[in-house]
Amino acid sequence: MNDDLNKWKGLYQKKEAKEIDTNALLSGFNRVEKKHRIERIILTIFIPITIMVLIIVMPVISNSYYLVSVMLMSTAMLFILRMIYRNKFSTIELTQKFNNKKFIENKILKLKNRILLTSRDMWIYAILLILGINIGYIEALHYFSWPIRLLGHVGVSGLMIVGFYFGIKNKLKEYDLEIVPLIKQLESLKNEY
Amino acid sequence: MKKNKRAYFEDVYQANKDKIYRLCLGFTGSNADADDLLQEVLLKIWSNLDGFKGASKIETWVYRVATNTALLFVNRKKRSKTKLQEVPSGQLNFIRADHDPSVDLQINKLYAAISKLKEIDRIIISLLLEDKSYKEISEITGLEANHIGVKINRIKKDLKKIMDHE
Repeated sequence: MNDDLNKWKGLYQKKEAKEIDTNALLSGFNRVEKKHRIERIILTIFIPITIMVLIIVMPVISNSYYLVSVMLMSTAMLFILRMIYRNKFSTIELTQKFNNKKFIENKILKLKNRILLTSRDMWIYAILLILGINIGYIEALHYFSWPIRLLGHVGVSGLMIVGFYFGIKNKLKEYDLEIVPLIKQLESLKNEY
Repeated sequence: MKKNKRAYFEDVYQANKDKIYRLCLGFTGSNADADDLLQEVLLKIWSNLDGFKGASKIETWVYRVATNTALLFVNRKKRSKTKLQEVPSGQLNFIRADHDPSVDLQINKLYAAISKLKEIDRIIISLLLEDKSYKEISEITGLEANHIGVKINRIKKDLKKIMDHE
């Protein structure tokens, strides 16, 4: 068997990589990094700009309803920003941090958490946003009669709940196709240890 | 480090490119997939190079990035239903011209056989064929060093069986 191993070693090590133009390779990598950086910047500045617009449009200083409304919506947006960051930009670190066994264990944990947290976090985001909008509506609709005000509150809340329900359902369906099989495969890899 | 990242990457690349490529080829069993995986590994090395703190040897770190990337790459390929190209002996097109054709055939056969092992076994045998010590294999795979010997014996038998059936 040792003769086989030595023979295999000799054969295995004969193979060499093709020469790659590292300048072209690195300019490609820089383009990828630039794209990611731009995505991060857009994500990061989009929310403060939205909050600023809300503060400018709504008289938050003179009206406590608008103030609470903007605060709740801002919290909701910052909350969702945290979720997007966690899902989108944190995976690259795992590959360099752990050996294969720990990498597989951590990846499984992260993927499972992603499924659980997406649903939970999206509903927290939805509740904060709906609450924020409804508190703003108390002031915005106060000139109208009770039935119209009630219709405004129920209408916007109902629409948002339905929208979020189907949005989350679709996301979980997507995960069933992408993440669940990956978890299963990683778990079978884990069992090989 | 930031200022010299490019030069550092080129050093790391030159020192490790053949080893990473061999790992990728043994892992995927196809030239095209090995090229894709190599690119993905190099991108991860480039993106994470600043994060290398020198706690281990750079080669061990590179292997860790490469093998972890390979584990996900193969699974992604399976999920996307892109059938991994089975590599019939003698049909791979990666041989250097200065090789003896009969040796080339044996090289093809070996890489094709490695790609048919279980994923973790592919990593272990690739590291062993690069003359890595049990300690290094343990650091990269997370297997306990005293289990590696047993595992290697089993993998060698499996590999021989596949090679004999080719």
